[in-house]
Amino acid sequence: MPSFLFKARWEAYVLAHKVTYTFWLLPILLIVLVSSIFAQGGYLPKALYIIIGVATAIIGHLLVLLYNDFVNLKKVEKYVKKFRDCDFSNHDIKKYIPSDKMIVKHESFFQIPTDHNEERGYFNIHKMNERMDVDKFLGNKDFKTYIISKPKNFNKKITLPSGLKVFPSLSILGNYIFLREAFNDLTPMSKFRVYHEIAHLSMPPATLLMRDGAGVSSLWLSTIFISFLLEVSIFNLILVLIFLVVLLFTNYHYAKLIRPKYHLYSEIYADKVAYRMLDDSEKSELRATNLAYPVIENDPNLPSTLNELRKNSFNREVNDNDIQPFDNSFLIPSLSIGIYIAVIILAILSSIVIEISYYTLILPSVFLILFCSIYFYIIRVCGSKVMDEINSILPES
Amino acid sequence: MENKNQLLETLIKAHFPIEYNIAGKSNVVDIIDGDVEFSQEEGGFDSSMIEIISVIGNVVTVLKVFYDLYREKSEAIQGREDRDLLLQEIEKLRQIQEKAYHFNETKMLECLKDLKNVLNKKTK
Repeated sequence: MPSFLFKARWEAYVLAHKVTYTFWLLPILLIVLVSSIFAQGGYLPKALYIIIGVATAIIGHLLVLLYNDFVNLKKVEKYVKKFRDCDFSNHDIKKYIPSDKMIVKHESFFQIPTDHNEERGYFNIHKMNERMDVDKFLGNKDFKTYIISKPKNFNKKITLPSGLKVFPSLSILGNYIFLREAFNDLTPMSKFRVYHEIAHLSMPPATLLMRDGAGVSSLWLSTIFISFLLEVSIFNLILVLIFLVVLLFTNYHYAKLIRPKYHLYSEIYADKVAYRMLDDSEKSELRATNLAYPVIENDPNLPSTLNELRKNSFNREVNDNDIQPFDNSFLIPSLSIGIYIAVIILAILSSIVIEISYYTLILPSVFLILFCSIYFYIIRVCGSKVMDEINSILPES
Repeated sequence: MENKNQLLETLIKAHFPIEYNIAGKSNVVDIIDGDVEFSQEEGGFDSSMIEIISVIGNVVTVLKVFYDLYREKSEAIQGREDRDLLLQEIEKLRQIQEKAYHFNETKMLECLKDLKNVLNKKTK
């Protein structure tokens, strides 16, 4: 393929990728816009239809984020309960994290390569070497940090956590960090671990990972929404089945093919950021450790080939100080392409058969309101219960 | 007791710096203190921590045996029974470390030698 064509194709891929993953509403907005243009109905009901359709997508997105936060909170509860006999003390981690470290600049993460093997879509890691304010990197994230220690007066065998634990959360419920000692007393290995987890909070792939899940779920909710606009008939039933098959394929594609690769990318990113946050003496201590015990262990969520890629990438940086470009050719956003195909099929099919009127909009609106109210209520009740449990064990910050 | 624990921590830090680095100060201090068990969390970095803790645990066991033998009856350390006991502990440690990562018998013997020197100075 001529290089300009390859470049154009690659640019198109990345544009689709950026648009889809940074603004998930676009495909859903496309569905409602296209279907509203071709469907029968008046202007006002069509405008209302667009508003309800977009609201469905936004709410679907929020519901998934909320659910992810709830699951994270449940994990914190389980952890805290496990060590409830230990002493927990507050610790302000933010003031110990140096603010002049070289870390990765966000914008360069999807930068198009210019001086490396373009044909394979290499990612130019040299452009990652830019200084950035850690405060900006961490943003206004709330870190609830605690030190777990053996209680002073205790007369039975006590169970302590073997290492530190970080529960990063990308949205509203805050991040929990549990350490065994104050941040300044941590060994380079432990600091590396904390930095690694913190890096996950700010990195684009982690955010995208959450948005991906939310996006696919929003698409499900939008499909249900459109299905409510259809009259009951065999043809429409077949149509809904086609919708479902397309969505199932999208979900499968995402879960089996895309997610592990994003997971790998996010781990490599976090490893690199964490290593670069250490000072020179800490780096050399970590290098010595890495020779005796592998600092990067097998991640059970990754297949062995991807685990090897991650270890090799880390070892190259740590042992050889080699910042060779990292091959991210597998990140070609095929999911975006899949999503847009699904969107076009859904939009065209739905515009043929739906009729948009105030009357036909009643059912999806009622469904949306009922579904969301019940969902929010359940999460709120269960979430407060879990929060109460956690707060009863942890000291007030 | 505090002196003994501090001495053991210093020895582990000096002779097993990598293990000390991985486990962290608090874990090492708690292992020496005794009466604790460590829970392994799921996945990620923690999965080999228990192995490293068990390595340190065994080093501590050997050092404690040696310390007690030396303090209580320093002459009897030369006796066959005590020596056998010590060798058994070292063998146990060797087996565990072999299974985990790199075992350095010389390192352990150096560590014991250092401990012996410190104790000799103290008993004088």
